[in-house]
Amino acid sequence: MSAAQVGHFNILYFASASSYTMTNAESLPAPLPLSKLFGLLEERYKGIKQNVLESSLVTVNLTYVDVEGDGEDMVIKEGDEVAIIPPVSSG
Amino acid sequence: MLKVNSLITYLQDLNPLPTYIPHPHRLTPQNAADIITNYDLVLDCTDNAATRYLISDICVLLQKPLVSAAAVQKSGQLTVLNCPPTPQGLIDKPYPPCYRCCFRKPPPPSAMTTCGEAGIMSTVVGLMGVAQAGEAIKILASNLHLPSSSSSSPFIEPNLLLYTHDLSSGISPFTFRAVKMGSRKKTCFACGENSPSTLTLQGIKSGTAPNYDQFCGLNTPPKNLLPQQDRISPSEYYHALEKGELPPHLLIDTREKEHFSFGSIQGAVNLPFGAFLSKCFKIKKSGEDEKGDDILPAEAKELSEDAPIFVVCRRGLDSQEAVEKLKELGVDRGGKRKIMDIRGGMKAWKEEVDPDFQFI
Repeated sequence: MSAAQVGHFNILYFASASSYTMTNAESLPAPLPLSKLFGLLEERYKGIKQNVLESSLVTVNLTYVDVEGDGEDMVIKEGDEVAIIPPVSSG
Repeated sequence: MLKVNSLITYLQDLNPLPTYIPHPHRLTPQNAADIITNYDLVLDCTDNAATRYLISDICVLLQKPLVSAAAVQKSGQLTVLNCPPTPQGLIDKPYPPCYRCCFRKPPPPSAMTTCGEAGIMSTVVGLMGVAQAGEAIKILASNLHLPSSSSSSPFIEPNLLLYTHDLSSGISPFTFRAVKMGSRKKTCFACGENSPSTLTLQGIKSGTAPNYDQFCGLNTPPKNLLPQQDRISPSEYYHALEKGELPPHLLIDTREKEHFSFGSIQGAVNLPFGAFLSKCFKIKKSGEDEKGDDILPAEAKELSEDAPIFVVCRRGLDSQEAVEKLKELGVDRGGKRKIMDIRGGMKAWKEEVDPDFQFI
């Protein structure tokens, strides 16, 4: 996907996150505190927190972030790339 | 023939030199440590979350590195965990993470599907398997499987490799992507600061601490969201239909279209649950602009306003939720129109009505 629009960040949805949102990627307004990310997504996609986000891994610019722990004070900036990566457990 | 024996036969043909040792049983909390302790490296190729958490926990406790590969539908994931193996509980500096550091808790059972149910692109699983073997060879060849004496070896940050075989992927088609996984989490249940008090070999063996099936939401009794009068068993539905006791009605099947295409109850209309939920949400958000009835498939228009609606799904949970949502949207006309759940889904339909039905 192309670079984020001015004042936005890109968010990528993998596997079940993309089936739930019915999209692979979108652009959301930045800046956004990381601690507000799940709330914002829950507003857009009801039920996504419990069904997808709580068991997913979240990355910002290709690096793991701990949404409920150390990363709490982090802010997602304009142009950042966030990814929601649910576990794949089949084999 | 057991899968494990079939695999060994195939491998012996491919390469007769190694010694292949079958373990012809299911891996359980009771036998896992006794099996894994005999090996230097573990490759997780299993197909369910409960076993993945069990293997990772045992690898932490026995200090074995773990190469974890997984694939379903069009997605694959590969990562090297607990490598080099480090004693449980150390957090004085960065150490390699375990599976729980990456995925703290499993998805709800309704969101977990196996390859048998959801399908798998053979190239995706082939690719992940070959990459997994490559990582395993690297680890053994560089002695990274040997437990590190805490201070000596430098921390190697693992990547999680993602592969998506999806032409409409958000990044681009044919995509590999690697994300940095970071180090062991201080709060990790299995390897973090307090883990020696939360995870032990004895606890695992006892089957209670942790209880993997419970943690992954397995073996929980079927949920009953609806009162009795809103539910009908597959055989009751079938017999009422056969005897002509049912008026013209709408039968909604909320399984994914792939499942629906393998077979369904005669007359059923497919309305996949995910799409159904988003449509509900959209209607509620729009306020007065859209009517609750807009959720129904076009077939509803050919029936009378009060024609009953039956909902069926795969195992009987989504259909109950769908009935609740339809009522919330006022599709039941305040109780004048019957909306019922077919109890237990197509799984129960196979058991009670049609043993030849291809349940996947």
